Amino acid sequence: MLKTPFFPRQLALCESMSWKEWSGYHAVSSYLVLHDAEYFAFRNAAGLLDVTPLFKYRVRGKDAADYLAQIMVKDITRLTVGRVTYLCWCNHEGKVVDDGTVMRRGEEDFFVTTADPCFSWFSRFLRGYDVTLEDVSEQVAAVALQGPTSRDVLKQVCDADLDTLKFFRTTKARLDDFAVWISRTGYTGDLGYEIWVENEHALKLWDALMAAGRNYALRPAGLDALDQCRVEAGLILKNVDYYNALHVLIEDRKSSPYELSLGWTVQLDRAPFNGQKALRHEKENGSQWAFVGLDIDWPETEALYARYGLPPEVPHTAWRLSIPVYSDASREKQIGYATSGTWSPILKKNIALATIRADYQEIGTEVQFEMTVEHTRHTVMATVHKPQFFNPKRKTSTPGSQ
Amino acid sequence: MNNGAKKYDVVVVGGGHNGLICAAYLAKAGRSVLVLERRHVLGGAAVSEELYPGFTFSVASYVVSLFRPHIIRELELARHGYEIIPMDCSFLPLPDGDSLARWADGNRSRREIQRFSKKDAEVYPEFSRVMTLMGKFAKQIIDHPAPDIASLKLKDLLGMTRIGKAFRSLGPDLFHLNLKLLTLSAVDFLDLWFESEILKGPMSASGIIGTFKGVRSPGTAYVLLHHYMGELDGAFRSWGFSKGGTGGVSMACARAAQSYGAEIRTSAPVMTVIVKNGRTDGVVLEDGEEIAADLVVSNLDPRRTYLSLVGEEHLDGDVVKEINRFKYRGSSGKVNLALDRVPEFACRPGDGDHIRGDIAIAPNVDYMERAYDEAKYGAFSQRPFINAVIPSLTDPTLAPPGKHVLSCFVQYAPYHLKEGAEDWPNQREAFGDAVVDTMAEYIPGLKDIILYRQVLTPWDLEQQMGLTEGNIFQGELSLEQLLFQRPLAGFAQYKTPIHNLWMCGSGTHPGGGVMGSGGELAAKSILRGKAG
Amino acid sequence: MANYDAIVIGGGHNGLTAAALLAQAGRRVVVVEKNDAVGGLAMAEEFHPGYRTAGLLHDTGGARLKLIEKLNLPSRGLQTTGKRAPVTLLSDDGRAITLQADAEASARSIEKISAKDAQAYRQYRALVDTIGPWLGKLFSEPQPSLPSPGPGEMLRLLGSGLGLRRMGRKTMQEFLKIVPMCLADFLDEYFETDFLKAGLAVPALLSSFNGPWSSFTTFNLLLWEATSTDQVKGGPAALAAALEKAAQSHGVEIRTGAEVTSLMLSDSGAVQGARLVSGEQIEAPLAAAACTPKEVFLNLLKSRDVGPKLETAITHLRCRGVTAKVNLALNQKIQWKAETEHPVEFARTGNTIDEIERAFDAVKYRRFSETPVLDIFVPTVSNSDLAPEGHEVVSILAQFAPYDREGGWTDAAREDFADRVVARLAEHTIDLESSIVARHVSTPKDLEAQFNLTGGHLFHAEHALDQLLGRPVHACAGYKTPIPGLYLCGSGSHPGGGITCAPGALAAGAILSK
Repeated sequence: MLKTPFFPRQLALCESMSWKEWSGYHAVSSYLVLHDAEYFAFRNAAGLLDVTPLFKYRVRGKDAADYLAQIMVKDITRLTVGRVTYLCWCNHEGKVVDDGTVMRRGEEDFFVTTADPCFSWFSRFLRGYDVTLEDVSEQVAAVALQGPTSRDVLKQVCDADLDTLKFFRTTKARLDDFAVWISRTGYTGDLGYEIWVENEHALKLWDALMAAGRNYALRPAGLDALDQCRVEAGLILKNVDYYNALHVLIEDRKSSPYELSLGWTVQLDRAPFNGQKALRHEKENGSQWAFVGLDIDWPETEALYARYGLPPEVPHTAWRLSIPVYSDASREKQIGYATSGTWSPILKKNIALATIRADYQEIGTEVQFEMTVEHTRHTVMATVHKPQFFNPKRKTSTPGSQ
Repeated sequence: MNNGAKKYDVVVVGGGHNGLICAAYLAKAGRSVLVLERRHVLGGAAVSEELYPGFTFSVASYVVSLFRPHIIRELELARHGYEIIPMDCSFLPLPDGDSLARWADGNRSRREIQRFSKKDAEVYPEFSRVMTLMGKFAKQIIDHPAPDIASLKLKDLLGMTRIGKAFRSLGPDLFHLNLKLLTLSAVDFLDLWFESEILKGPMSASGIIGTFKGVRSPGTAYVLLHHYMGELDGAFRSWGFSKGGTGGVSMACARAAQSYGAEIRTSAPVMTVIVKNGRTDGVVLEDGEEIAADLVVSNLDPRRTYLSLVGEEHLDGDVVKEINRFKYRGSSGKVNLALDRVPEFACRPGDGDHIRGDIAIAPNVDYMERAYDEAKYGAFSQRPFINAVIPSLTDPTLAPPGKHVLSCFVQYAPYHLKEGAEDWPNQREAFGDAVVDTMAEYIPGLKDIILYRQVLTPWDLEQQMGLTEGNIFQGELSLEQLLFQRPLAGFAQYKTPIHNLWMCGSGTHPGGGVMGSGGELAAKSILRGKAG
Repeated sequence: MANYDAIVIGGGHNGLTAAALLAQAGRRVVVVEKNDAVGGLAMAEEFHPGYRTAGLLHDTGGARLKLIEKLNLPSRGLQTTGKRAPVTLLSDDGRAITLQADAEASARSIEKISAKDAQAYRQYRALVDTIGPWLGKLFSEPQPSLPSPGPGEMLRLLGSGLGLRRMGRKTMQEFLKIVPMCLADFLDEYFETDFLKAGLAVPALLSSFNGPWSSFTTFNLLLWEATSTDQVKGGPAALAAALEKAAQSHGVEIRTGAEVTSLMLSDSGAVQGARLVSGEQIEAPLAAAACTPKEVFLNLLKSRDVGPKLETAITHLRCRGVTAKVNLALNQKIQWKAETEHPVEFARTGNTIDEIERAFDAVKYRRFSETPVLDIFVPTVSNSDLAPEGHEVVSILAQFAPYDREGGWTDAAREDFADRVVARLAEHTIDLESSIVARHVSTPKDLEAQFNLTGGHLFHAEHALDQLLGRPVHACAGYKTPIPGLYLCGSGSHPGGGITCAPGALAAGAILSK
């Protein structure tokens, strides 16, 4: 297993010894045995999370934008310098291979992050483009600084004008004697930043942020807290909510962007790109599946548990299982399945992300969510919701430009 | 002991794993069965022997991979001692001091492979996906008798329809890929995914095991499938060592057969199958004893079955011609070493997990191909492909504490030397030296820790185990000798031209490897045929 | 408004065939050819002043003239012999065998060497003559798409399945048995004479990244036998000349010295025309590409227009050139050591199967053969106009010479290989070296440069089974491609390379049936 450059600090802080494997790296699940404090740091103050295991690529050259535009569902030629975009990319069938972000650092300089290794996939499309593709995954470390006080913390340590740095923008900045790239992005659905740093300066970055964060209730946070946040924000997770179309054995396991609620990232009318024909066809003919949020009815849950003389029980952390969703309580017609869910501590709701038949996708539709109580299967009513349950104003607001 | 007057329902000639499995199925169905084995030990090529005091070797076959899981279930082999210790790593030492270890852990393998090619490291899951889909297709072929393509019988037409349907269900992409899998060389097929000659070296090696072909010879790609077959049955991590050596598998089959009432006699060499008027009703042992049986099933290879047990005089001229056409030309040997301590590789010292799986001396594609080029012209490879295992690292019953057995499968050792096959006894030790020298290039102190060495050339495999021309699969696994042509077109469904004489060895569909299918499918065909 | 209905890219014999047939059906067609003359691998070339070849390829036996009967080539000067050409197999010890269209005549030639082999040859020919018509038909008509043929195709498929079965159970079994076999094993079963086995193997290995020990090469031999039926007098160049005349007479505009750099596509991705190196744009709603599939998809089109799936499939096409061309100008008639009944027009070396295999071994390691295998054509035997009176042109296809030679094809390497070719020929001839006026050598690299032949492969894509069924890739197997308006009509399409006219004719048929 690999260790990220932040490992020594994390090891010292990780009292629970609760780690998991993330792309071959040691990653902290939660620093304390219970992760609640880390979750609330994300939502009320700031949390600091090591995201080094993401895969990172630099794409540079005269044709870099054209090249990425061929691969991605979004027209990267229209992404202006200093902007970041979230998107996915597809195979020729218009099925999703992976998702991630593209940052335009310069006219001919892009930085791409992906969930799984994509060098092989990206390199298949280099022909004819004046472009270099470089895998910097193991040279660049990264932290996510997320939460309402993240801006204040980050302002303490670097020279960037964060008051004007808008949502999904990126900028270069200096800390003491080294440079970092800051992007106003993240996986918590909150105000936050991701900071990209050469490995050699990684510990200095960590230390600076931790020191500056002392006055802003910053704490290191692990993946358990992140998982809860990302479900609240309706952000999909690869290999949980969808699979790489290149790796699955059966057609049913492939998903199109439309079926993952990522239709908004697809820009169809432009020069040919991977999956264009199939995506256009799907757009015109409609999709079979929809990706939605489910608001699982709490009173019904309470009532169900009450029948067993129990108070409602929900898993302590976010879950990643496949749970059937039915059209009605008879459980005769399965219309989909939930793939992740959590009790939302901030919304006080039991929520899930689910793939369901497109006919049921309208917001407010009532469906039945399978729930097992005392080893017996039941269903409770759930209301179709957009995947994004939590979306605070602070996520996108920019004080300096108001 | 039977008194010679007893008549059996079935006599099985040869106590290899297929013979034992066939016997077990037949006994389980209520037949009275006798297995006759020439040697003092059971197992044929799947045999464990204590060759040197305290050291037990899987003399010939050394890893278990393809054994059909349903046979384990149906014959309750686990209850009879079938136990496989999974192999965790495929290790490739390289001459320049580097090495490549491929692990069950995907991320770990990716990081190893990316030292040689980042693209290759990432494309692995895509390759696995396709191979799994192809394996699914192949399963429909190996788990059924092969239909006779030129026959118009209903059974065969139905079989052809089943295969046709399987082909159509592949869809055009996989159909054409399947065509490639069947016809391409292992290297050309791997080229569709991989670029690193170093990675392709050991990967392509699985395409040539036991064949007289090189990694660049067309028709070697399909064997790559074997790596993906086990997983398909849900028998994950099916590559492994049989506890107590590969003979453990045979012993489990034997115990299963006995538990269903089969009798087994060792040191009972069969001289001939009695044939009268085109039918058999028993066998004669070398000592003259006659044993009567309704059916005789031969676990021997086609040449021995047709030409030694039966004899040309009982066969049609065309059948004799076709049997003589069936090719063997064994290409591999074994070198088994008893070692005083753990062999340590210079490129990655220690006795860690990297040497607890299989170890390949296959540093690149050209090395593999050069080894073949020498063999083509009738010489053993001076620097051969070696697949080595040290099973005593995971199974302590095989050697005294601290000591080890190192078992080297070696290719190429062509049966037909340019000096003639009978020159092998003169070249045996030189061949052994070439193998030890090759290994010693990677394990510097190897020669000092060898306590005992056994060298098995194809000639020896023929002499000792009765494998014609030393072919470990009872006949080449080339496309013209598979499916409805294994061993003969028209007689590829376990029957022979001699009424009541059947075959069940690796020389029948679906072919070689410790798979058990020949024995199983033969038994089931017999039972179906006799059911009415 | 476009001036043309169709652009044919590449003026090789397939391009000309397609163009002539399209024009005959009333289409306005332009052929754009990179070189200064049309003909491609069938083009006559003056390689030394006063000495001309009859085409880069030798064999016209596979020309499917039935497919182009409509063009009435005999009226444009095409003459054929009505049977395949005799070929002389040369042994190192000075013996020779002449194989002819007539099996019995061939057997008599073999009889002088081995009575057993003469008998075996009769049996061999009986087998190939039984299978030949059926196999030849499969490779002269459009191929059903597998594994799910269309309704009409399904009938044809069943028909050919029945055709195979109708040869009898034994023949069918034999066919299925030998298809995967290597030549070494197959020929061993029949013959005992080494140079006969070697000589029979040679045509099956032309432009093949295989040796006689490679599995499935028997299929290539069967295919060659099945499709070698007729010979064009004057060699490939004569066929190309007749096709050119036919094309022109139907109004095809032929533009030489016009190399295409890219195909122009509309916003919706359909063909609009082609752009030339000169910058000129030729507009047409249809393009038929006679160049290699890799040239079309990986050079003339952008990655984004090809799309990930097709791009990958085309990238994986195997076209590893292994054949070099050596043309010799001699100031006297070539003198063979072996006694032969007729003047030798076609000859092959390759003393033993293992000699050919060793020659092949070299290319696996990116080296050329020390002892190359020669496929020899002496075009001046039937056309004395190609050289000054009493002089000779010798055209040699020599194997094996790797496209990607280790260390590159330097001038020294090229000459070194040519020296070995000449030396090999000299072993079979008298006074060869002193009679050489000039020699001209083309390595696979040179062939690629001259003819845009990807990998220097004479057949555009190797004749391996997987590349013969669904050729070149199944998405383009019916000549139509996923790019609207783009068709393939060259050797990279069914039924494959060599002088056949078949891809051109069948592609024209596919275009016209739209």
